[in-house]
Amino acid sequence: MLKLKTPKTHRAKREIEKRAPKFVENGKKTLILHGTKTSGVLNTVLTQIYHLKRDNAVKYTKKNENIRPFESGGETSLEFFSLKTDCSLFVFGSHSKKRPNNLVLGRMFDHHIYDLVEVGVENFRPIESFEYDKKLTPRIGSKPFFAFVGEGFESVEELKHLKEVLLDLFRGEVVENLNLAGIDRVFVCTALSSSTVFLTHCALRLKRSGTAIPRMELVEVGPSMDLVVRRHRLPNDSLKKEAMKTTSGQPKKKIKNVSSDVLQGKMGKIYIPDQKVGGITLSSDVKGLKRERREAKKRKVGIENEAKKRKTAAD
Amino acid sequence: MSRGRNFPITVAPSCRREATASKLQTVEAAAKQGGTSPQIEAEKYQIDWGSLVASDPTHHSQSIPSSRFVFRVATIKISFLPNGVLDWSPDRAETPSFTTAGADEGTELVQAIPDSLFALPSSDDPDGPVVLLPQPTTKLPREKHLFDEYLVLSGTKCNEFVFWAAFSLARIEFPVIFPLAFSCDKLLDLPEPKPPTKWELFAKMKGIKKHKKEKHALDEQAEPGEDPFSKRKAEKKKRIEKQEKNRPGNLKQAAKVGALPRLSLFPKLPRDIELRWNLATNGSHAPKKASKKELEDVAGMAATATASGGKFDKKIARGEISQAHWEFLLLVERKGMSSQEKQQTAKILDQLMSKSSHDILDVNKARFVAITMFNVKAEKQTEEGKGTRHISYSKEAEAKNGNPLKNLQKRNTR
Repeated sequence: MLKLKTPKTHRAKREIEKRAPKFVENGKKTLILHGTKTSGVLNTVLTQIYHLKRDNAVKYTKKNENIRPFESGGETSLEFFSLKTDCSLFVFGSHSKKRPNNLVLGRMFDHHIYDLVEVGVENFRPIESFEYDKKLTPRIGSKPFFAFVGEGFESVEELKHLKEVLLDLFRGEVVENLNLAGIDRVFVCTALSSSTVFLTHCALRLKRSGTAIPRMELVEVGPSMDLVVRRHRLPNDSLKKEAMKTTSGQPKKKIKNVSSDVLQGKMGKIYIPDQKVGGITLSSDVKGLKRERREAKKRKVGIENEAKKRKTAAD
Repeated sequence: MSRGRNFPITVAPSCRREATASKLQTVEAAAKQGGTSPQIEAEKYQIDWGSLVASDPTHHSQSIPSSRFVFRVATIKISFLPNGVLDWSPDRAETPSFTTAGADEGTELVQAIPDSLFALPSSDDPDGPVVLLPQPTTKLPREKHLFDEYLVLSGTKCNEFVFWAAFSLARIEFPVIFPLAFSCDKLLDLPEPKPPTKWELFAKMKGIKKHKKEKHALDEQAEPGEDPFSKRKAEKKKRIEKQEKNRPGNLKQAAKVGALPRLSLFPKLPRDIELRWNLATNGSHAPKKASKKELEDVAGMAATATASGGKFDKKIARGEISQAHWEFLLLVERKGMSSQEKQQTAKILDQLMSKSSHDILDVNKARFVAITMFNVKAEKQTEEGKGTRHISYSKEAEAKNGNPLKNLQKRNTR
């Protein structure tokens, strides 16, 4: 997809239109992949995250050795995959001695890396280890609640960043209408220390209470893990500004009679209403009227003279 | 697992969402004032209803990473089911589960969100009560850049300034987009709107609009009982009859004016019309005999009535009959040479033999040549002896030498 391809079928054209930048965007898709070396725990983590986000996630199974998100050259593959699958979130897992059970959660803007958070997974408990009533299992695609407990999420920069990323990752599509009967799940994140967050996924049970508002009951169902923030990279300011741009939503108002040219700059057109030439009253001092006035005078004088003559004749 | 998507995604007008937000705020304010219902503790927490996020910044984490055991906290309001979550029985105190101190906090927080949400006016759907959520307050970055149209009208002054600066000072036609955000893949950029075509401009100017042509057009003039096709046939017949009646009159008029040749170049008229025509033109019922001039005129017209105006046709001299017409000559007597045939052949012969026809055979010349040849021969023979040099053809020579053309004549009359 690096060369410019024009769609030749209607189907392809529609696909491209789906991926085009829009004012109200589609839900973000996640790409889950791993590097050369992974551990058992990490594999389970990745698969379970994939299960949580089944509808809008893509999981790659191959080893990718040339992906190093924090290095300057190591992100080209990631960007390419993001472009190909139209994913703007990614979860990259790797395992090494220095960074065991490493997860890199990242976001993309225009298919280029926007920001990254590197976390280590500790004390992971998979879905299978929880015992619960199977009827309570949250359904795929249901909108989750979030609970962030702890002051760390406000004060510590890394945790703030992580909070944002987790929100982005698990939020799903932004909706306006919510069916209250469809509330299924909640993600509870507790800031244990300035660098550790305990993340767990619970199902919600709405219990009958006396009032119209039901009682919430949390039943832990999903994977729970401790995330230790290792390093993170925030976006640079200009990029952030660009990404956070929003407008009121109305397309620009057409400014009439203003045009711009590269040579002349901004130009405006002024429309003058038609002059009613016939209706304009001429001033009495106009030179052209001189002759007329003169003649009028002569006539007047002539009439007077005649009148005088008649008078004298009569006399 | 079925998809749990049971909320319709519709773009509600923003005013409705603002109404929701304001309502939630009033609920919050009421709680702050000292709240009617003890359940609402929203004032402690920061809740983003749009994204369903509740955060409690006031909580101080007391947990010790090593200890992950259950401990009873006095503020717990909710009882947990035995087969699920938090187990209070001391037997299972060792097993780690949803066990940090923040567990109950979490539940409280989560409780806080629907507390307010359920108080909102909900529209009843068959799936359940549907509530309109306000805009999310937590701002998250976009996936892809915003395109030009929307960038122009921006709320912040800073952006506006940037726009005007770029527009007016830098004399750039389109708003400036930060290069960092520019996508390298052209497919993602919105294409510029195509300039209208010449026809589109013209149509716009004239006010021509596209009409969708319907395949089935209702024939308003048709009556239900009749067959339009037979009707059409009958009409055509009537028209033809009418024309036929008018035709002689038209021709008469044309002839009067002189637009038609007097002779019938047109196909034969019906008998009665022909007689009437003759009467009208000639004064008698018999057809008028054509004069030579007229015939010639007509012949000329006919000759030039070919596609190329008669240019490439062979010119037939007057009086000559073309080869094609030989076939059509009447043979009066089939056996033997009839008088007509005889005449024809004699005629041809005369043509050949006549003195005036130069192009077929010049008999005199032939005679002359033959005699010359004969005399030259004779001369050669008598050249040793003194022979007469002059060549003459006379009766005496003929008597002496014989008729040099005898053979020749024979050949001719064969």
